[in-house]
Amino acid sequence: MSKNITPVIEFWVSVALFLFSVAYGVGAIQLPLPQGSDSIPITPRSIPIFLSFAGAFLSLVIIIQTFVSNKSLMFFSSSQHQSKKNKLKKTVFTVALLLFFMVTYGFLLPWLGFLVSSFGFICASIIVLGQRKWYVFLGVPLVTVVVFWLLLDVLLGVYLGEGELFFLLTEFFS
Amino acid sequence: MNKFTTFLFVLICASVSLFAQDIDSIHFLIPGGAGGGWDGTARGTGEALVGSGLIDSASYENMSGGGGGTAIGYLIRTGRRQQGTLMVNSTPIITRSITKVFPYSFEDLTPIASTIGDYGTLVVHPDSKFSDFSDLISSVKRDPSSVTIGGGSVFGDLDHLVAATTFNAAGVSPKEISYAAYDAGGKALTGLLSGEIDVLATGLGEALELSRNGQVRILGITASERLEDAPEIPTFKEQGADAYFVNWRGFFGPPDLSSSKVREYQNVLKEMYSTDEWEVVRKRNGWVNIYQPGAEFVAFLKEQETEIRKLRSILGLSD
Amino acid sequence: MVEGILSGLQEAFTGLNILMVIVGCFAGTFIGMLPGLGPISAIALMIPITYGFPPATALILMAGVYYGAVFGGSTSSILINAPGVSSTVATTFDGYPMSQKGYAGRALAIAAYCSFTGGTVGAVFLLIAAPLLAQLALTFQSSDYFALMLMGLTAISAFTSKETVFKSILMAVFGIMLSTIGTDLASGVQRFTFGSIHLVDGLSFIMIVMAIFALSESLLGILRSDNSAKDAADAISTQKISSLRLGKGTLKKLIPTMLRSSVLGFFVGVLPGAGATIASFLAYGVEQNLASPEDKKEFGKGSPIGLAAPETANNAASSGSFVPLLTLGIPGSGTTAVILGALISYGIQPGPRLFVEQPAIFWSVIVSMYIGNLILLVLNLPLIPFISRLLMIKKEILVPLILFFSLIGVYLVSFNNVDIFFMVGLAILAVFLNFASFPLPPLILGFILGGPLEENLRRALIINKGSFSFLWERPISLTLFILTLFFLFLPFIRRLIAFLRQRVKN
Repeated sequence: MSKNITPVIEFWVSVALFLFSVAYGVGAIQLPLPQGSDSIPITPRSIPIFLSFAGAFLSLVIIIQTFVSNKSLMFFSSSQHQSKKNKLKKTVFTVALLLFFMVTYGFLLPWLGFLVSSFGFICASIIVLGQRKWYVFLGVPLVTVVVFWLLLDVLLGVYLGEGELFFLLTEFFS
Repeated sequence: MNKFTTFLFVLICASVSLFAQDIDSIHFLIPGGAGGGWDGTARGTGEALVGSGLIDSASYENMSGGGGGTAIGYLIRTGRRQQGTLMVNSTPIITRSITKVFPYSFEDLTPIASTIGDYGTLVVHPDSKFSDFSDLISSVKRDPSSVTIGGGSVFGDLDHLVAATTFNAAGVSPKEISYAAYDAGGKALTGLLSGEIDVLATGLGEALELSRNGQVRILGITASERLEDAPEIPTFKEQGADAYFVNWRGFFGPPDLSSSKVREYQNVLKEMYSTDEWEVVRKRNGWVNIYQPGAEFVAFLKEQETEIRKLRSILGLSD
Repeated sequence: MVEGILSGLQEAFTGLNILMVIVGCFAGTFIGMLPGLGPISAIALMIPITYGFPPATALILMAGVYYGAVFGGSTSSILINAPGVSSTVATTFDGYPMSQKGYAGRALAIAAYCSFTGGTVGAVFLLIAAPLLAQLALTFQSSDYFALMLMGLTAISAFTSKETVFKSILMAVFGIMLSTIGTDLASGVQRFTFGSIHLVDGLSFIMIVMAIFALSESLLGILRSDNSAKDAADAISTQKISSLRLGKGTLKKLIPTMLRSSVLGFFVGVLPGAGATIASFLAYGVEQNLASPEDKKEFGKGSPIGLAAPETANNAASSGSFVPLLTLGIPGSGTTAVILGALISYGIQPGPRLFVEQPAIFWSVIVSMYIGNLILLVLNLPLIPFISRLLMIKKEILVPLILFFSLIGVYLVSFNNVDIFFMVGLAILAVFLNFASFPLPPLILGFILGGPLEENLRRALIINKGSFSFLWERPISLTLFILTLFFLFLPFIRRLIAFLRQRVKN
């Protein structure tokens, strides 16, 4: 757990959880009642409704708690934290890039296939994290991907298909 | 021969081999995880086909999710390049299509044939107060709430349907009887043996050995006549309830598969039955051979779908 | 029985079988480290290979894979917070913090010793009392399982301090909410699936764990990094990291925990409706509740007790799960279900008859379990210094590898890239939750226990025709409830006793 607790984040996360609980509850009420078993007091809605109330109640308590114990720091961040914020900005940018890569990886996997997408993903991530030596950011992904492929496809028989693009290209050329 | 003739010759040979009747290999698409029922069926079938030389090789791809829907959708989408792929499936392709677990049905694919089947059974604890099926029915008719049935399927799905069709055929409304759902057959069996439920609905494949071990008593099976492998088990039909239900397993090809390819697959599957390798696989898994190819298969599927819809509406479910 | 053990020993000590144990352990360890590929797939994929072998040999191989996988899962849980097997999730709670503090070698060693103890005690119980235990497996009904899960939830208190009580409970509630997504068992109704076939089976447990633990931890590591200081710290601690030394008297201190968790884990494992995962959480909760106040504070921060409890329990439970399998032919978990399928395909029908008709197989399996545990310990201890050095890999390489590992592990199971997007979303959420000091383990606890909790409750109600009377009518349920309440109020009771003692003194 982080020591950089910013009350602002606590507040907004609690609000988000509160809203989620409410939305969950609304969804719960709309769940269809089972048609077969009507003799039972507890329906598919019951536990979700209970959870929704519990979640909403608890998040409200936390929101109030956050207010009570952090009145001064509530919405303003003091200037002492400025240097920390700058450092945070840089790392947040890195993390955001990594997240973007992960999402892209998710998109590309079915298209480019396991080998190419994984290689690209690992390579890009290593570069973003600061490694500049070419033999590292090319070598590591290469070794990793090959080892994985060998172990899974060859040894264990887990099917790692080719990407869609491969098929489109073969169709295009045949 | 000059170069041109050679070239032509090679070309003709190549194109002839493309139209050859032999299947080199089959790629099995398994809509579930390794070790599950579908997986065992596909791999067992592949093993028999390769072992007996009917095909050269088999490959397997597991793709689980969505109750099998992910694989079905995948096969439909990539149909054009899946000419060498067969997907294994069973009764759930109908039940889950009805309950809209996935937006597909068997009509979106090319049904090839069903190869094996598992008849349904109702079993009770060896010390159960019900001595046989008619005893159970009279108890139920007297007081429906005195009996609880259980199964390893969701309410309104496979195991529940086995019970529903049997009770229905005996003149009892299955809606009156409480059904306790477990998420797996093994857990449901524990429920029976611990005394929680009175009757367990399951498939013969699971129940037979248990009954021979003396752990459960089988009240009957949902077949039209007694089975060769289990001559001591009576059918419900002969006990007065004409119930027929079989959890079939079979193979499907991608949509718009050419009829010549369909016939190739059907031939190879049909020939498989007479091989020793298949008998080894069949016996060790306790499968019952039920071969229904092509149009017969489709007719059976449609009939089963209608039957299931009817049962579900009797249970009070409107789809 | 003695002849049985002797014949089992004889059977187990053939060259081929010993080789199989070793192969199984190694293969299993590796497979266990990979998130998506669990022992279930591993065993299932090995079955065709084993057709040529005698059944006992095949079983020995599979048992080796099973134990190896649990150990491998512990390794990745401890080193990179990425539990490869669901029964090692609880290991991350104290195993990962311990390795973060620089004591990776120690953590792995504790895990190894505890796994050995748990598995061995379990095997001994199996040896002595298997048929009797079969009866135990059948006494629990749905209402008892419900009470058991409820007791499991009290383990949340392990993650609460005075400030975070509400946050922990809220996280557990959130976890249970996530577990309701999918098809409702008792009625067939689909809940919160929004018509998507990806959600019909519910959220994948591995996906959530990987996203919330491994992915978010890696990202947090980057967010919190202060490069220069970290590298310096890394350089110093090579010695610490790979050292196996446990510190003065640690092992002795852990003995009570190991004994309690073995017994608890084994008996929970025997129950078909509960498995190694639940056993590990329960043991964690129980030990935390029973710990002295100074020990209690260490939980979640690298406490040896917090690591020992789940590690012992999950291995003991794995042994326990063989009881219903071998004596009744009932599989209590996915893994035992696959093993059952394998047994049937070898022509062996486990059940009451197996014990009588083919005792050699029964005993050789049990003996091989013991051997497997021993070999795991012997083979893996020397490897620990090397394995723990993996943590020395520079962050810029380690993090991408962990990210890749987590994502591909999940993808390889479902081949569904929507899972990757889910994971990214969950990871982002987990990062925020972490910054807001919401403890994450209760979320997983709620998610794992939520399903069985509701399922058993509703089923008990259906069987009881809608009345809640089973809560007090069944002795097992009643006992478990009382225990639950006891655990809940234990901190207050303790304070009360301390207060009264003070009064008496004055």
